[in-house]
Amino acid sequence: MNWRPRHGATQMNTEKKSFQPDVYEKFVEKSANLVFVLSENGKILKANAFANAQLGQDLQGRSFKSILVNFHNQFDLATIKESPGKSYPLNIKKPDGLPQTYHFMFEFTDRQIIAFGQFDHGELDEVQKQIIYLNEELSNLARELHKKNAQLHRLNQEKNQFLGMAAHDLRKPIGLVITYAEFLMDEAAPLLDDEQVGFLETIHRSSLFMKRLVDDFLDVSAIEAGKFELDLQPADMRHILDQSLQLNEIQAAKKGIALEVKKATHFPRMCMDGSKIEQVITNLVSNAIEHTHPKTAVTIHLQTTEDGITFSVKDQGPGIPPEEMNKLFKPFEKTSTQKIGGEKSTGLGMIITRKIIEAHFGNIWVESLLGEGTTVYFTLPLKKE
Amino acid sequence: MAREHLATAITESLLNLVYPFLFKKRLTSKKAIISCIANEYHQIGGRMVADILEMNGWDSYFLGANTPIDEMVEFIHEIEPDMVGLSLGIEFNLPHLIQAVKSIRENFPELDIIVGGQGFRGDQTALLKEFKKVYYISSIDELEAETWSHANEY
Repeated sequence: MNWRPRHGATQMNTEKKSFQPDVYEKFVEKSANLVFVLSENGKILKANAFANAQLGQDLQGRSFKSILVNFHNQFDLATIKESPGKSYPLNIKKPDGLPQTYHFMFEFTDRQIIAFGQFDHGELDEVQKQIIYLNEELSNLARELHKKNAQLHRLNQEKNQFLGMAAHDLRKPIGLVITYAEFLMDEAAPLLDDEQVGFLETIHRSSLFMKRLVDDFLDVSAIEAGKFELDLQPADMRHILDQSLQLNEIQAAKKGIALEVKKATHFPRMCMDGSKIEQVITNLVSNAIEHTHPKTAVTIHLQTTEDGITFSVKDQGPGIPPEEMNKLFKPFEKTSTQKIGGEKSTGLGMIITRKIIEAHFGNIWVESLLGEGTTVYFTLPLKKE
Repeated sequence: MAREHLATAITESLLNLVYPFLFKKRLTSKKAIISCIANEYHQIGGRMVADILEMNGWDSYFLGANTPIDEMVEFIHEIEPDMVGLSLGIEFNLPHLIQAVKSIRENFPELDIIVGGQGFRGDQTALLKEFKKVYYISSIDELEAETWSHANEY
């Protein structure tokens, strides 16, 4: 079949034509590679649009070396000229300050040098691979972290369970030791010599400490096991304070310490767990007495505020060094401040105190001055019945 | 390729979301090591296997992508697992998997080895028949059924 072009259609011109320099120019200008025309001494005479865009400025007149990151100090056009056709990985300085590797080839003419830079795709691929690898590593480490956390949580639960069981089983025999020691001190003391009475007093004192330790362990294990519950009832704060101080007064009298109590005349009835707040006050006042020098006083303030009540207890002891203040609410941590009478501390009292106050949505904090004493404050918000 | 990586990253972050619930229970004392073989960079399937085992009460260790066989053998010595799982994401990595199975078998003649992954879609399991106690697991359902029966059996 004879095929003829339709009428009016242009016949293809099959005559071979050589490309004109402007066609080269067009391709060079539009190319996504860096193209520079350099003078013999390395000044940029011309840069294509891509080079200007990549380097963020008009480059004409600058030295080629100045666009390279300065670890190419050894870059030397004369040396390059001796190895024609060789490719050089060079880093250009991008406007954001980061280097970017291009593989440069140099073509030397009589009076000019053409520098042609191709983007290093291998480097980008490597970076991409590394990012993927790091992302996966991060993901695997996150898995490991969750797993270890779960293991720690399980171990902590087991520890609390063990602690609770051990403390519970210890409580009863310690109670018996205390009761019999007190019985002997009351009834049998006249039959004993001074040394034997001293032994009894040591048994009694140590047993009381053990009981306090066991009670604190039970509280801490209940708190950590999430079994710490409040029995909230309408309560009279003044009554709670009076009850607490009854116990502390005996302790203070033994050391010749006065308890100075300042309290507001009117208190709103508030919802709280009375026995736990009593435990807090007893503990804080007891601590203050233990840290106060004999023949001085512990000052207790109980005030009403718009939001609720503020309690404070101030001792006249040696104070706590500022750098040790953060130890106060950490389990088993003890400050270097010694109790005046050498009493032992479980290191758990302040933790339990804080938990009780925070469970009531209150705040607790400590202020201390070395040589002057320490004041512990807590607030309880007003919750109407 | 970029889409594949993005999908992988999204899937991995979704897997991370279930971890707070995944590691809570320990129903058996069984331990497993799951790993991709040398040269295998597709780790998500292996990680899912490790997570499924964990979900079924096993203690599973996931070694990640491209694990050198020497390191894997060393880790097996350290952990003393009841089972090792090897993931084959791409078929042409099969020689690496065979090599890994050989090395493990030489060091631990009685250790159970499970293998699986997209690389087995062409049914290359015949090559594994020469090894004893090497089991091909074709799906997550099969994995769950097998791990349950093993967990109860031991």
